[in-house]
Amino acid sequence: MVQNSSTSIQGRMTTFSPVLGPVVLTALFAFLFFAPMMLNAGLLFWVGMTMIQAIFALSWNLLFGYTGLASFGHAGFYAIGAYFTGAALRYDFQLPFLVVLAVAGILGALVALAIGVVALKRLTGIFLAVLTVALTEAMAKIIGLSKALGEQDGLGNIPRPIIDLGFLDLDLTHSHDYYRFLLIATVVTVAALWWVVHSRLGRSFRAVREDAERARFVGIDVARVRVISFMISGGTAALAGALSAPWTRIVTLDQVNWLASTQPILNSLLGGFTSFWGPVVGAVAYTGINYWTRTFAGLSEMLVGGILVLVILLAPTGIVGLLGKATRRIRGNGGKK
Amino acid sequence: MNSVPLLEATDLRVNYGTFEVIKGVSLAVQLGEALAIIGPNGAGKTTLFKALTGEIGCRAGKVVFQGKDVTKVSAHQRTAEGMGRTFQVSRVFLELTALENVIIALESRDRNRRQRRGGWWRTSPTSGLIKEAEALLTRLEIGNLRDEVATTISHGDKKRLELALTLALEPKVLMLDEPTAGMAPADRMQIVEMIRNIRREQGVAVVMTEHDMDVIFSIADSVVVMNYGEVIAAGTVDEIRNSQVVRDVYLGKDMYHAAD
Repeated sequence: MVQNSSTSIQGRMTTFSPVLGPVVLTALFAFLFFAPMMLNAGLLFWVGMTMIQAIFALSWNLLFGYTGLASFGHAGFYAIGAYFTGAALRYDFQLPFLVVLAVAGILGALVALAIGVVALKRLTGIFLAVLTVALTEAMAKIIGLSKALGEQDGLGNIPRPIIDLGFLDLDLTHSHDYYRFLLIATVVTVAALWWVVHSRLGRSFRAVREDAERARFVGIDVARVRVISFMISGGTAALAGALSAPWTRIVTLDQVNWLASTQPILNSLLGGFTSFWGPVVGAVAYTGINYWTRTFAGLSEMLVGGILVLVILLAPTGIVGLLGKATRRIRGNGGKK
Repeated sequence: MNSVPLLEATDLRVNYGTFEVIKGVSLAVQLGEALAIIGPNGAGKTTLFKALTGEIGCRAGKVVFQGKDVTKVSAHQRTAEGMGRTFQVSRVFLELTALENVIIALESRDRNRRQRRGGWWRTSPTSGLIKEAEALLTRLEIGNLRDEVATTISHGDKKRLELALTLALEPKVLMLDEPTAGMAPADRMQIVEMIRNIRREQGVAVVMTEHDMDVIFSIADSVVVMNYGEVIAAGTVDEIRNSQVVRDVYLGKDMYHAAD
């Protein structure tokens, strides 16, 4: 994270020099922008999925890392966005694609609001976790019975959109074009989330996570703050799903189960939930691990699992935390104590 | 003293399950008055405190604050309306710096007053707000801890920081649940001095529970004595000091045992 540590008012670890952040981000963006020219279609697909998973993980960590609530059914929100967008494109809802994305995000936020109003006021911790899992499983059952949504087979043959900007059409039918759209959408979404967690609102999230009772007694409406965080998180997860549908061109029940819900959790823990960029780093690392172990049939899951256990045991603050420790050691001051 | 009280509780009753902990307590705090609630451990002081501030609900009775019935009003709303509260074991936002702690309180105050400072798009607090926070820290003699993360600061300084959080809200009444619990004697007297200064400068009322009689006699104007969930005596500091009932129930015991 890029902050001047002496005047930091954000309270997160300020382990990296202020120059490094923008340099890394610019290099990353340049690589991603030119990736279609450098990578084959298969690899490009992985890169695109990593961006989507990064948004998904960021949305989960907004809730967990910043507000102190754990959702174990986040795939439900993702699926809302993915199925809605898939259906909108497949059945040609006559809506501009950007509107479809917006509606998908709003749908996710509204579902979060409904859950929040019913449950979040009283239920936190394990109750919220179980409730979100249950609702996601229920949703999977309903989708499995819906013919329009492809029952057990999923919604396939999703066409990629053409965006009508009035003065020109943005044809995203080709994967390279949709990829670039996806990249820009990712940058915008990540920037928006960065703004949220560093804003006044983000500070009230952290106050609630740190000590809800104390937050209440500085006049913060804890229930309201939690619901707002849940809505932003759910909406963003739905947006991640919405962006995925035209990229994968198929939406299946695999994206609605509890295993899919663990993905953003693993990415956040792997990368480091105490840092804003942790979930992004985690998504990249997870893709990397997955990619290098993909040829070891059967061994792949074990390797992935094993590496995750190692990282979580040895570095509870994830890769970002580990990097921070390493840089402090190299600088030789052991950090500010 | 015959104006409308700032804070008034009437026949307050609180249950934990079927067990009645507060059995019909009534008390009134005038504008700018300092009231101490004393009594042996388990008398229900902290529970009464929680009921007054809205942390827990009450089974019956009424809490009126600034002429408004707040019995059903949530804790954060009561805080927004001017009840500032500290806890027996001080509570601050542990992973944030002292400055950030105060900033969160100041921003909450402004939000509740619908006074936003600076554009909605900005992420960092305005320089005016940071200056205000620094001034508060300096006033509570912890200006040097500005960038220290709250977990690393001492017990006494945490109490000061908590007081700074509470004062940031510009409360009408300070609700202090054992403000000097677990502090060294020298530190205690400093906190007492600080509370007296705050009262002098801002005319803020104080409601406190406390075990230390020196602290009570230096701060309070009047005292309410509780035992087994009931008020057994109430009056000025001198009246209570000389009351036989209070001596029998309370003052005969060891006054300096630590809070639980």
